[in-house]
Amino acid sequence: MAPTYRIAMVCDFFFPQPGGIESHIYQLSTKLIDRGHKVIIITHAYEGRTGVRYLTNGLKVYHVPFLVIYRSATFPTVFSFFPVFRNIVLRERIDIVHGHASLSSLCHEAILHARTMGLRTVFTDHSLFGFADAASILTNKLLKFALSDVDHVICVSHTCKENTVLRASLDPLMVSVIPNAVVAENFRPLGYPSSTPPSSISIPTPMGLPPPHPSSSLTPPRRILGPHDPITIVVISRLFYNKGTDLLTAAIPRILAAHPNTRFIIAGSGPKSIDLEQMIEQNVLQDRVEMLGPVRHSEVRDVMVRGHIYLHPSLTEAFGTVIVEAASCGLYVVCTQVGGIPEVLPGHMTVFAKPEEDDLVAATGKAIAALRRNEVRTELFHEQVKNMYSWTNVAERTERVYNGISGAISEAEFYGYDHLKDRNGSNGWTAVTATRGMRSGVQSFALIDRLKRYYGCGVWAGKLFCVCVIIDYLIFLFLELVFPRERIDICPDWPRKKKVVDTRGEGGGLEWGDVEDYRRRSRPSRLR
Amino acid sequence: MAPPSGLHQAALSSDFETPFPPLVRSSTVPVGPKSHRTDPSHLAPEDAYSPVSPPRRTGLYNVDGSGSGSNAPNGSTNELRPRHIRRKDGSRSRSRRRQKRFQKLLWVKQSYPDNYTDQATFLEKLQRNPRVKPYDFWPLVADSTVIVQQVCSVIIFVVCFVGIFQERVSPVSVVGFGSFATFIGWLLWDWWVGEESLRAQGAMDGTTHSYRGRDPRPVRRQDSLGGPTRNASIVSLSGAEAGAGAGAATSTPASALPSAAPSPRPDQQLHIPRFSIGPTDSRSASIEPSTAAASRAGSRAQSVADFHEAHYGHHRHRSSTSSPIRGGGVIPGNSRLQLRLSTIKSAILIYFTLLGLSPILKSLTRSTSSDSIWAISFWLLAINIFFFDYSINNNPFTQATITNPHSNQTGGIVTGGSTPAPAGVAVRAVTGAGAATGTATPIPTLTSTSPTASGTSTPATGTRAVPGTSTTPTATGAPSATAISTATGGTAPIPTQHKFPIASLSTNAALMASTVLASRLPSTGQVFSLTLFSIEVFGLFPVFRRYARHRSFRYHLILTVLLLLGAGAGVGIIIGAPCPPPGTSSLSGIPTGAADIMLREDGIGMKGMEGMILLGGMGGISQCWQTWLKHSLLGMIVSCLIAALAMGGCSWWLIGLQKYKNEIYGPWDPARPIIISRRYYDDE
Repeated sequence: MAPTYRIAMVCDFFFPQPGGIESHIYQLSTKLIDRGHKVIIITHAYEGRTGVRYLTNGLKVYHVPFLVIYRSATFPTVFSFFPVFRNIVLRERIDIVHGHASLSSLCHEAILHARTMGLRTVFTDHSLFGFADAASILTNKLLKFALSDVDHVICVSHTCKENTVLRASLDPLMVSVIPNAVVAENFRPLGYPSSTPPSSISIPTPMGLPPPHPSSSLTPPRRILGPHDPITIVVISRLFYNKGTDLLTAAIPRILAAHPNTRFIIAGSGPKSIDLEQMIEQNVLQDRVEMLGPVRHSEVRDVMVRGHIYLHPSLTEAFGTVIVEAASCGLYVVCTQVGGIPEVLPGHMTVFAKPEEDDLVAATGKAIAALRRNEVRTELFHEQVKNMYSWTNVAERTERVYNGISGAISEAEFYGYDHLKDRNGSNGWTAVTATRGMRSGVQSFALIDRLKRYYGCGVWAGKLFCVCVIIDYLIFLFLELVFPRERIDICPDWPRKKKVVDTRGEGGGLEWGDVEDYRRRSRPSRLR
Repeated sequence: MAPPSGLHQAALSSDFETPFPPLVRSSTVPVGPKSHRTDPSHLAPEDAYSPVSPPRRTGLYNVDGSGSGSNAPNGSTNELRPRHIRRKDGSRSRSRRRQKRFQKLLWVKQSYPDNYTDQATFLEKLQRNPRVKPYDFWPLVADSTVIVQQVCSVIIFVVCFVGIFQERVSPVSVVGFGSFATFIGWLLWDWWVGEESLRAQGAMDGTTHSYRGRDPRPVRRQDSLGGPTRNASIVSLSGAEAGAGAGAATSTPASALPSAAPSPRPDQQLHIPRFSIGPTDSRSASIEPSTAAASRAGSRAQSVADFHEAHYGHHRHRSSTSSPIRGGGVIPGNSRLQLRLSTIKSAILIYFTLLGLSPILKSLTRSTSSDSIWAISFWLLAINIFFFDYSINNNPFTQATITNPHSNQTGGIVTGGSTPAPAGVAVRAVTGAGAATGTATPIPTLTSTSPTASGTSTPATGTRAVPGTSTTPTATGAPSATAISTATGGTAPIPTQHKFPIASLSTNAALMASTVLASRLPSTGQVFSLTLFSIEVFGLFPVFRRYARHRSFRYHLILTVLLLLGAGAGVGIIIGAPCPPPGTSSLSGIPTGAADIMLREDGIGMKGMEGMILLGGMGGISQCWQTWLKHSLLGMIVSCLIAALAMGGCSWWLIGLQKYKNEIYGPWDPARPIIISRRYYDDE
């Protein structure tokens, strides 16, 4: 019996606001609940969404009233969150606090307070930051503060891991790479049989791909493209500078000029859409470029299945969930080779381009040619993607992190000291054992040890951070006096049936996944 | 609730890995593992818990795959590589899995734990200080002369103000010598431009590479906002290359000449300073290339671009491409005459406008206390120094785009001069109007697609002058401009468009400072002199300096030295005791100040020493001469010393600071897109 934990996910960004981080938290939480843990989510109050909510599956969401300053990020008051946070944590008997997103000050505060209260903390980083501009420098310093005393960090890609390790001066061993996932069920190609009955999905070919004997019910017929059949290129992104809209604007006329019988569908909105429209007018491409404007996440699949190629010209991307979604819809992906994107999809699904206009045009040309030669088995993509990324897998791997930091997995196993011992002889081993207990896995809660960690943050910042930590500790003592633990009610857990966990784990009856699904179900289940 | 069995996963993933094409090494050569510590002298958090960081050891392998994902097979390297020592992993370490190379991929299910850090590939793409190029001492010092020049100009202006204010110098002599120097500078400039145009005509062949006809440069025409002579010369499309050989097709001087009745509303008139010097005047010259090299595709694209600009152009105001040099490169004799004439005309206009305005300027901020005035003007001059456009770019086109704002702003500022507080606003409105009207013209071109057809000439002066009418149909009535706008997209790069607002801020600040200072002066004549002088110093002189620097570094150096000496002498005299008794001071003070000015202005004339001696001999010789000479000499020496110390010291300091540079680049940085057909958008 694996240990179960009571986990609090803390992030500024959560539903009803749409977005990648939001759905990540939701999917991960439901999957963890399915695995027997108790998960609550703490976020700030959104308009029309205050108090405590229950979502599907007994997922409880606390909407803490907080001042929102910019793009639903709360104002960074270092200590003001503590009383509420402590109350929630004690009510729910939380063991592990799991924060998300480096721009969320709620998450950073929660990690600080949780450490003060003696809880284990995990942080998931979803984004990449540079080191050059002033905003990044400030954010990186704050991240360093928050992560000086975290137990473990999860990053969504290896590039993201490198970035986070550099930004927060972390030990690379305490950073795990656990990718995002997609709900493959929601991104089926056109004509793909819907597999809503769980029985049908529990037979998915464990054989992998390309299946020598594809089960006839699941593999859609091959789409054979004639030499003059129209090819549709789909672009779905917010039209911002860092999404590479400039590249797109420059490349579209050249691609269309070089390849007759191609057309574009562009979905999304943003400040750069004016440039796109201008480009269309200027080159008189109204009949070959269709701009759909903003689309909801639930409609993304319907847009994607209209195309053959997905073009992703982004300039920076930590993971790039959208290209996984596109591949899952059976689209051939053309994307720029930036950030974590090269790690995400195998080579036979993608054509990579440098972030240059010429190269993007050439790569798209290559993709079109490959499709015209019918070399790419796009109809197999869905099955393959489904096997690569699933939230169940993400939840399992996250669970291992929880096990590691709470001591269920031995430290040596989690951090691989045996490896060190083998390689290094007795010397390295003794060195590590000497500092045992101060290793990241078993971070000591003693105030002096914590202060030591914070002190290393910088010449001035280190001292400042130490002062903050000390004040936080004093507040904690004060709260213990004024609001003693005994006075706080213990919240009863959500009653659950014992669920038989599907040993296959992949997909199947546990997929609650869909956002729309969530919305539909969450509406009647408003309890308080 | 056991976790799902690893067997299933193992089966899945091992099946995964085989059928896919094997991965390849990335195109970049790994730099080898590096410590992620950016600063070894500071404590990092891990120092708190482990003196030895176990995973970080030098990698044994120099090459590792990083998953660039192309299709070249290189599976064989797997076998050649020494195996990584395996880590234990709780749920997934099934012994039958064969140990595979760690890959930086997310879609492969690997046999390593999630927090495994591969020593060979971790941070392999980290770059430190990749783009740092070390500075050299002497080039740095040479570059800093630009700053010295600007500072000296400001000092000289202040000295002149103090001279006028203390009535040691006659304002007439100040402005007289200033104007004289400006005139000489203009002559010189004109001569240089003529030379250059000859050279250009010889060298250039009208190569126009229009990029498939769909590459309209964000070329902005800049209308002269009611400058009567300018109406036909709206076009600014020509690259110098585009029209070099096209000199024969002269512009339409008839329409360019002041046929349009100059209804001298103040804002119209005030725009003329733009043409009071050579650089801007050559704009009319740019007509010929455009007409000659007119091509359909280019014109169409251009018109569309302009249409766009007409709509969105207010945000990104561009300086016009009607660059002095570009235009100057193609000026044939006839139009150069036109040019000179119009220059002189504008000069006269601005002269009289200023003369008329100076009573207003005088009483404008009279009620403000002197302390405030000193403080305000100090800060404004500081702004001028800090925001001045010091960019060193030897590309004449760049220069051209830069020079225009200055001359442009002089016009704007005088408008603001009447009301100092909203000066910036006025300028913005004026420039915005210029942008809007200028770009609004080709709208008929867009609709009719026969640009030359709309030949009926409407006097557009009235509508032009009204800002904000750009999209209204009335503003489109400059058909001559439309006809002319059928030019190919120039191929000249227009690199420095963002600088425009900065440079104008600097000029605006300086001219506003002079306006504010002028209110401290007692008489209208003094106010007029100071304002005119400030226009010369802050509006026109930078243009000349820039051009001189472009011409040759020697001129630049000479100019710098003269400015430095002038500023030093001026400060020395001002600080030195006002020795002459009141009677003689008025007599001898004038020539000294004048010599000082002359020395400052461009040094083309005589040197300060000679001037002083000459004037000293001419005027009544008093004992004061000796003290003044002494003071100015002392000032020069001190200023030279200070300048040498500052330039050398700062350069040395900057070079010394380079060792602290630590830039980190990696794949996480936003990529810089390389877009060849860069159009009208700016990237933030």
